[in-house]
Amino acid sequence: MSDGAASDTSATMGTTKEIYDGANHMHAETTSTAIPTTTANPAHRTAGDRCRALALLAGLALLGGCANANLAQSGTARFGSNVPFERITRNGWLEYKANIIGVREGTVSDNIRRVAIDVYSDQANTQRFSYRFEWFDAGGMPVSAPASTFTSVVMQPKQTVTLTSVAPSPAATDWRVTFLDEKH
Amino acid sequence: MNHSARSCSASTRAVALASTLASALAFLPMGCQKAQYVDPKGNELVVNVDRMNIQDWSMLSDQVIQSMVTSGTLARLPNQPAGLLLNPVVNTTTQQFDTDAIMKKIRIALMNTGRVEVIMADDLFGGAEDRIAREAQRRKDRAAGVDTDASNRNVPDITITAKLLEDRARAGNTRQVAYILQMSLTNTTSGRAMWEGEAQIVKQGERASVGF
Repeated sequence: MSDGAASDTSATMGTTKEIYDGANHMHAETTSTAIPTTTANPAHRTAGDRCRALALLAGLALLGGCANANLAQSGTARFGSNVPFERITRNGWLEYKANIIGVREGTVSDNIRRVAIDVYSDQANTQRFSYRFEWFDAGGMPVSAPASTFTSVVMQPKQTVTLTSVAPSPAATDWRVTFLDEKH
Repeated sequence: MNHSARSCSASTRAVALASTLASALAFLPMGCQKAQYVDPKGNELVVNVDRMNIQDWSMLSDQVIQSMVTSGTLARLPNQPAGLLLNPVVNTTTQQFDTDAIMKKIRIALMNTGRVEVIMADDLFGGAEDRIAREAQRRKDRAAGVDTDASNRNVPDITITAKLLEDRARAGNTRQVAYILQMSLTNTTSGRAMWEGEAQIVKQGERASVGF
């Protein structure tokens, strides 16, 4: 979904919230001491941007930023798109090795939602992160999934992987995926 | 007398101090022991290379559930919600554990789809899982003049067979173990498999650790 969507975001200790409306339109909202450094799409980052961001992130990581989780979740109908979603970045370093570049949704078995998320690693070394999907009903209440757990992913340099999840019941309409950093 | 009293008092204090210190030392290790609850679905769980962990059960279950649901098989089940009976899991791993740890998650997930109901009162295919329900059903049938054994109510529309395997390898100090869950869903009318799936997890390491 983010292909072609380039705009200022922030690699900070704070939270960056990006809202994708499914038509490559992105709105960014930063809610803390953000320092603009990069663009959303890795392909649009310049070498200078990347160096500055890495230096900044390395310093911020020492302050505990790596413990933060990044989130992505299905958006609300007000964005009027087939696959609206929000991306909430609290860990800029994690963003580099688990960058969401596409989200697709579908229906299986007639009435069960399914989501597939393409995640790209911008790194030159093998990286690890873990993720977990959660599902919610139309009222925003969590829908229990007995087999839900954090799953570890090994990302080869510049690799894109697709993470998938199936709703635990027909009542589950919205999803949220949480990314956590892992030391490699 | 005075000296003796002082001496006695000093020795009493010494004994009291010693007992207090001894008590404190005795409880010190307990006080230092750290026990805490962790999220059973989180990433701070203990990981063992040489055995299955709770998160392994979840990951194996999740893989086969996703495979089954996305295959579209559930939409083609006969007599929906289809009556399901599960065969005992064949566990050929070196680890003895209750395989319901995996199968129960799969049952829950299938029932949550609304397409499947697990038959609990069957008495013909290995014994009822819920004996009270079986007896209650028999009494109700008897009162209604129905022969429970002759009816098809407890005959499954679909069955599941599952096998759990493991593979171990070692290179130097690095140990690797793979757990594989194979599963088949059979339509009892046709006697043919409607779906088959396989889930794998592979773990490497030298010793137990916490987290991934």
